[in-house]
Amino acid sequence: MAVATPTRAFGASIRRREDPRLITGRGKFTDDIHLANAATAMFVRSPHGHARIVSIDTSAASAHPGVLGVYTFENVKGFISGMPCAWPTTNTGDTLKLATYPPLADGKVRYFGEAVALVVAVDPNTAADAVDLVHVDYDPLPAVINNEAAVAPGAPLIHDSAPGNQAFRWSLVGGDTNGALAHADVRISQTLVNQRLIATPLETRCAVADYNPASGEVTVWVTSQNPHIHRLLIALSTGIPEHKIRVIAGDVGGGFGAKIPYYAGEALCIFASKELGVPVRWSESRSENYVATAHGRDHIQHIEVGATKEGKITALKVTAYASLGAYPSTAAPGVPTWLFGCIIQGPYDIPNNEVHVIGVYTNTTPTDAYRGAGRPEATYMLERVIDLVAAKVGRDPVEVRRLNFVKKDQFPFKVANGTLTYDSGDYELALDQALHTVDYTHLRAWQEEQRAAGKLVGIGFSSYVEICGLGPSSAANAMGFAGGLYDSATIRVHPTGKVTVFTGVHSHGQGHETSFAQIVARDLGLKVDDVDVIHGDTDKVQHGMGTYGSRSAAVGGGALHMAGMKIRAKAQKIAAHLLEVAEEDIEWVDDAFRVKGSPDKAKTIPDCAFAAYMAGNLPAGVTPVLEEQHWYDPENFVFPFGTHICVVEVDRETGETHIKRYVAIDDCGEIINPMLRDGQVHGGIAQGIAQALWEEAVYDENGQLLSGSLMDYAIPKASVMPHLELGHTVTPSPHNPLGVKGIGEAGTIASTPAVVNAVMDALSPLGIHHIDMPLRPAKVWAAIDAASH
Amino acid sequence: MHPAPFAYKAAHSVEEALELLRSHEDAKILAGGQSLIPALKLRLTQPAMLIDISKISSLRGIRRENGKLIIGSGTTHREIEKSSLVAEASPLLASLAPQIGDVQVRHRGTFGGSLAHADPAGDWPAAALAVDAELVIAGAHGTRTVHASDFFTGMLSTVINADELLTEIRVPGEGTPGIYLKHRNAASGYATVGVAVTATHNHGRIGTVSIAVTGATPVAFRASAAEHALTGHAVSAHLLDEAASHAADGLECLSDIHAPAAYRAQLVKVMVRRALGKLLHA
Amino acid sequence: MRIDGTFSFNANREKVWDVLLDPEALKACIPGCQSMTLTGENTYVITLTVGIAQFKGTYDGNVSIQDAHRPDQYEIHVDGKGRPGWVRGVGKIRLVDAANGTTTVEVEGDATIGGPVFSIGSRFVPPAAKLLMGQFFNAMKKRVEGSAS
Repeated sequence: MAVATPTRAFGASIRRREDPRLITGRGKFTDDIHLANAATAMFVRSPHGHARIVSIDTSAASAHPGVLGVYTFENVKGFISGMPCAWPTTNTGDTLKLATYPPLADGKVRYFGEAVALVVAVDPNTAADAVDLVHVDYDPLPAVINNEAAVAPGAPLIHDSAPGNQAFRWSLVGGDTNGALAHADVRISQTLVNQRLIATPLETRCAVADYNPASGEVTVWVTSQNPHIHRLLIALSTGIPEHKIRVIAGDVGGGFGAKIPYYAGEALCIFASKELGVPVRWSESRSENYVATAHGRDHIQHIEVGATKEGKITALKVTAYASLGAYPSTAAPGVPTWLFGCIIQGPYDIPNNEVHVIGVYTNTTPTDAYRGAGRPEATYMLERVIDLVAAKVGRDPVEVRRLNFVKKDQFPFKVANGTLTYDSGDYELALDQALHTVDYTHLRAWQEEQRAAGKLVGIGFSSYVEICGLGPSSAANAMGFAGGLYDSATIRVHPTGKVTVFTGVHSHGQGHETSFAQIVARDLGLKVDDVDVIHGDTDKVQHGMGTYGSRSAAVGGGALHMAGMKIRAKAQKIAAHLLEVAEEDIEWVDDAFRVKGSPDKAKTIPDCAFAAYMAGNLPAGVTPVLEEQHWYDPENFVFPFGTHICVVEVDRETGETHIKRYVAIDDCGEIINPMLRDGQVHGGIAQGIAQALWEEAVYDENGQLLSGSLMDYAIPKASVMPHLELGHTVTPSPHNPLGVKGIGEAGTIASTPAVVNAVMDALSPLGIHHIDMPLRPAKVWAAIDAASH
Repeated sequence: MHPAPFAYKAAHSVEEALELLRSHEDAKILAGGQSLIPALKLRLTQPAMLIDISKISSLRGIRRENGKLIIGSGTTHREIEKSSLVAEASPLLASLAPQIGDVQVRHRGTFGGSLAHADPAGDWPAAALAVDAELVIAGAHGTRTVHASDFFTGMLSTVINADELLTEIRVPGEGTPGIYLKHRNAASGYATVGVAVTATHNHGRIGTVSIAVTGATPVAFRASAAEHALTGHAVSAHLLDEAASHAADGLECLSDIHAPAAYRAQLVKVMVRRALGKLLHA
Repeated sequence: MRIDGTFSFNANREKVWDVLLDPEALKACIPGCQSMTLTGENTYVITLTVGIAQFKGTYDGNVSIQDAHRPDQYEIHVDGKGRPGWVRGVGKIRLVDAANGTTTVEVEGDATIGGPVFSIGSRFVPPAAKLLMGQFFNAMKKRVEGSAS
């Protein structure tokens, strides 16, 4: 299919260049790696949420024909004794109780599905048969699932090292919240549950490890969003020297945060390959993914709000009980703290606010970042608060938002707790555009008519700001993250002027192979098809920090642009030399260096590249070849924002929610590829609507995961998605080299409260003001039924 | 996701399938595999042998005979969905078929497989009961015909014996108005509650009416009391309200994380009312 | 998970009691019972192959009868595990005189179930449990009433 590839690539809706490969089955995912003699690893997993292991009998499994090895914690602990946590943060006087996260259960299982033994066999069928032959005798213990119950006196103790099941207590304080609460005209208390979610990427996790005993080198193919971080953590946890480790994350079928962490399954493939002298592969089934891959969210939040009678919020106090699950996953402690607490006032000027987070262990799958990571928990809380305040003071929620917004002349804006400075924004602009799109005045009139006819229709708003482009390394270090958050780019212009780009961020659905080529094509005056983007292989790509927190375009793209400018600077010297004019007599116009006043006299980047590789005719002091590298460490985060509006009708008799209209106005600064931007917003909104209406990881009181498969865990289907009306405003980031802000998480962050607020607006005539998510029909009907009795 | 070892044999005729069933203990019929394959992969079922009947052409197809619609048990949901014969002869079946699973599932899954599996949340059992389908079961001594009302014996259970095979389903083909309403489980797409209703009316008076419900209880059932309350009466909104409001009386509904029993009972009432309303225009 | 039920037997309480607690009757009437061996007073080791339709699994476990007061009430404690999962439960069984010399058996069961089968097929478990309990008591009923005639 012919695709227009304009020279001015930046800002064009170019189709994803990776798609022909991916949609015709020619992608190369980890599970597509087939090495000769590769053995298959599988895990024996706990059927209990909490139990003491009395004994493990591996004899029958070991004796089974085709089984190469059966291992328990005792066998593997010499290779790896614990999974590292890379964000061991706390900021109060309380010590962080970072429980040991063993790669296989060490004497006790602490969540349903925890790996107890590793079986390696010649093929998958044999391994599956052998898993059934491992006999584990358990002594079940009482489990604790609820975050508040976990820290209540008398709760079952999960880790001896964490008394009271508390991992940390973390706080941020801005202004005088208690004083402001005491003097507030109106006060509201509300408890909100932000339920546990399962990321459900299309591709489950997979790892293939090939250890070479002769060289001591290991190659690990793994489903990772951040291969260099994986390499570092493998080195730190196993002692294999970092330069002997090659991590390859080729095509990865979605991550949503769940492929940030470094997991035991990956480490144990390396162990088994080293032990057995053959490559070892492990590939999750979906039901295994549901227990073995990090879950997300899972907060209980107690909120106190004080406001004036006009609805201006003067005080906000949040105490959140956040579950880490049974063990601290790679980035877990940072998610409900910094990524949640810093942005607690969102797009609003709330001078007095406090946030306290109690991180708890429960008998559940460990949690970690999930699309939005912390920011959806803050935004959902805040947007529910705004609507509750509006209802309390009897004002339109739009007016209450407007009243509380940070105004556009307040930027750069420092939040009350002092942790962040918002770079730029015009929150009213996005709100007004959203109102204009829905024709708000008529929409409210329509709602009145519908209500008069007995229909439950509601209009919900969500205004948000997010912390993206993670982030300045100094800020990351100060927040306790054990790594920098810069990123990298290498641009290699080949002698013919074709370009290979190496980026330290990773694409697993984002479309970097297209959008990053657009950045380079623009900067170097090339066609997009002349630029290839390489990522995900630590032997090919310089150190980089990977993709999460909507950082790729802002940080990876920023690095790429800076490297492009270095190419341009060198090429300019060569061009001037070839044109036999002084460097200052040429300028970059469109796609070439042109002599000022004689634009027909020009040299392109390919011209310069050829000369650079011929190398015999270069200006003095200019080295051969044309290749540049840049590490970009941003000076600040970037802060995308926007407003979403959702219109719903709730079926009074069945409790079903029907989305009648959905409008999203997002501002992610400059837009590299509008089509990809729209795709990110579409997917994000789908996930956010799903949290509002359908998705929930449900455990019973014994720690059994009841939503253990797609039969019971409701991800959104294309057939249930409403038409999405997208729009945007453009407020460039003043400090980002490209002016971009990030769009990967915006839809998820904004849509959840928009939908819930719409449903609550629909139900408000019945006196219903809050129902916890997901708004399953049964739950909504029960509330309607109770309200009508 | 690797099944326990099993033997596999494809049968090419009903006789061959029956012979295989007789000569192998613990054999299981594989038709479209939409329920069986996941269960095998999860090792929730571990039969010694699978007998694949998908290659038996005589089990596939839709025809009309003596005013009845004859549907081979191996006919896919998609074939029923796309059949103009079904659309004309059985509006209820035509209404139901496109509501099953998704297009991929409908291309694979079979009418007979769904009935024989008797999933409490399956769709076809409601329709089979509502139209009082006759199910033809082949065995060593020829065939027997069982009415739908006698076919389902409990959750996942039917009268089909281990050495028998469901071969065809006969349903009335006179085009009786009918409709299937389904409340889909948001995760699985299965019926939280599905209601299959047929009804005729003449000069404002209800003729025959049948109401069958799936998803609500361990096995699909006919809402006989509601049917009796309607038959022969003049159509009115009040009558339909009254009949539907008792449709869940005495039911012991299923309960799960998506829908507690009380909600299922509510859905039965609401959906019966809505289905009647659509068919009787009241 | 609660599993309750009421079953009526056409025999007096002593007669019903003796059959309900007879090891041979238990073995014959517990659905899918493969073996049942007495290991102590009122305590058995048991192997079951049980399930609904083709969804069957084999479970090994212990059954014990406790707090027995003939002919009024007893408790049956069950603890089993197999590939599909595990179960622990207590059934409180009361025998009540009913009209015409018949007996009503009231069961109040409380079971905890877990493991892969529950995680994937939780919707089937409560009705299956109820079904199996019904099978057990109906088999017992046949035995009681058969031997009564």
